[in-house]
Amino acid sequence: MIYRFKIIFLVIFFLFFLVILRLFYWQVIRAQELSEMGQMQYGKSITVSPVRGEIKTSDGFPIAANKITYLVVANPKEIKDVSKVTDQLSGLLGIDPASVSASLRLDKYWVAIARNIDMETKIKVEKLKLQGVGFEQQSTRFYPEASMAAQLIGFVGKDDFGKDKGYFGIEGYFERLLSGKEGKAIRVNDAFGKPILAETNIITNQIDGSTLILNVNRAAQFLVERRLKQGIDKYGASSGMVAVMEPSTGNIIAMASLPAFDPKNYKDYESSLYKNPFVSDTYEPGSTFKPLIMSAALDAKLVTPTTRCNTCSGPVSIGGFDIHTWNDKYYGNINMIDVIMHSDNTGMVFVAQKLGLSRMLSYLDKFGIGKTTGIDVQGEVAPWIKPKDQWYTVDLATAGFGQGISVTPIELLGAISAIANYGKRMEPHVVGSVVSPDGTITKIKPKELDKPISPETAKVMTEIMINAVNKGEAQWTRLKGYRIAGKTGTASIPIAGHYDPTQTIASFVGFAPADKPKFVMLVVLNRPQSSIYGAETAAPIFFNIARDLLNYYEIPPDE
Amino acid sequence: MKKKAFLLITILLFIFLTLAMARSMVSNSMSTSGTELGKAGDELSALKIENALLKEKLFALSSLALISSKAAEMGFVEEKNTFSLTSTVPIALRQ
Repeated sequence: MIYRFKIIFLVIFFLFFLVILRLFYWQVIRAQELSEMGQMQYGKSITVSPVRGEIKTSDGFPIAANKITYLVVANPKEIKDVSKVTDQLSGLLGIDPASVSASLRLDKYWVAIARNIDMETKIKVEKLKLQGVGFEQQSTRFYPEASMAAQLIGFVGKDDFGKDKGYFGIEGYFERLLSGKEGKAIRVNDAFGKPILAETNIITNQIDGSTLILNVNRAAQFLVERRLKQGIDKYGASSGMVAVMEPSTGNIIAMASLPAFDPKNYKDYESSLYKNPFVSDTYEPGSTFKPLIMSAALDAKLVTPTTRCNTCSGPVSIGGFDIHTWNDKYYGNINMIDVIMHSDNTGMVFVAQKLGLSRMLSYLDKFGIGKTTGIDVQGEVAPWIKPKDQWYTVDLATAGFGQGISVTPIELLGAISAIANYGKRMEPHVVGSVVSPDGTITKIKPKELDKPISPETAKVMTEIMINAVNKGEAQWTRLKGYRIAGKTGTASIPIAGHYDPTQTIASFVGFAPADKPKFVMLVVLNRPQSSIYGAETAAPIFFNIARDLLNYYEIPPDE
Repeated sequence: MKKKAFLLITILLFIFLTLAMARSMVSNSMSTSGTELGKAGDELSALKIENALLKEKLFALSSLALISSKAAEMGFVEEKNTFSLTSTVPIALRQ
């Protein structure tokens, strides 16, 4: 008898255990899902889009902000007179009537008619009181300074799912930070469909995008763009770019490229204009490269400023090639100060040969040549520097004066900034701080990348570059009263295995005030027509911008 | 015994009636909250839109491109010559 009781007890216990297990499954494992299903019966699940973070210049002005726009939608099943509605909508919205008509004739309950319409147009459409036509509110990127710093900022387009996505520049590089995260919310309604107060209205997981505060100074950017435009027009260049950096921190104060595009209407422009040429284009730097080779030789104590070149009295023959100076003028027994002042190619061949290939490659590596700088914008490239065993004797010679070797403008700017910054090379940064949606500010600290030369060498090289400005080919345009270090560059353009005989890339790199540099700047003009020389095209633009910036920063003359 | 039971029933009845009244009062007051919430939501949304539009207008009006063109229209010209005051040695020094 007891035996039977025990069996019945065990059976009942087992059944209870099964019930408890099942309850555990529903109450614990699938609790969240069931809860959401329950809420859906009396509410509505809505996706809450995050607000995209703004991009502000150093003065706190939003160079990329958000504005409210509307999506015009229609329910074709509710529209009776399609042709009348088509005429009214296409006239007001400025879109092709055929496209509107085709949308309104679709066998659907929801069609999009026009995107990104502003408030005024919305009010005009509303006044027509068209049945079956409605609006959906959207957030769209708005650029108060229009195309200012367009290639630096990038733009916001759509991804494969029709959602906003940042492309190029800062919008592309910081996409995850700027875009934030979508959230879900259940809105509980009463019997009349009105929302009621309930805990379930709380939005879950939604995170707005962070705001970026740039190191870019809006006034400096405006001045740089204005001067660059004037220069391109005056010298008939096909394009041009300028970047200004603070050498002690690596902060990018301004970065401009022309022609630019309007980020709001980016589709109206050629896609080749989207990328930032200052970080994405490579070119042979020509004579602006000479300060790097010279400072390497000075740092390695292979030459001194007074070392004289004993091979500079005429063209130099290396590996079957004759190397000439840019103007075919030769100065026998020239010293290193004058080699830079006259931008003497034969003198630089002498320096490069003294330096030797191994040492030159080692110094170039420390100057960051052949490596990405780590600048925080999308699309940076680093031209390949061929391995040591693939260099011919003539390659070493031509690299001495910046031909046969490619760099990006940002690489060169970073390298020259090491001379301006007492030998220390800093990582360039466009973004200064990140403000999270809860208001937490994260500052991006300056980062030292390398120390290619000693402070003493940097000082000597600075004096050589000041002499080049005061007595070199660009002295006619120099800024009197200020000690400015600089170097002109006129680089040949390689095309199909040889150099273009008529076109050049003219450039000027320098820093001011030379003794305590506030900025280092590189100006690059592509194929100027009025003159092929950097001293006659890029240099005046450099000094015009330098004058504006020195005035803006209220830096008095020091001479 | 009978008295006690009567008292208990009266108290329970009183509690029941009080709770029922309280419930209907709360339900009554909450029944209109949906409409009020809807109104508040609409108002909030309208204010947010107004704020966004004003912000947009403010940014557009304070852009350097616009200020520069307005300045040019008003006759402002770029100053070519700059004047700077440097700390020169004074004429006489008090010893």
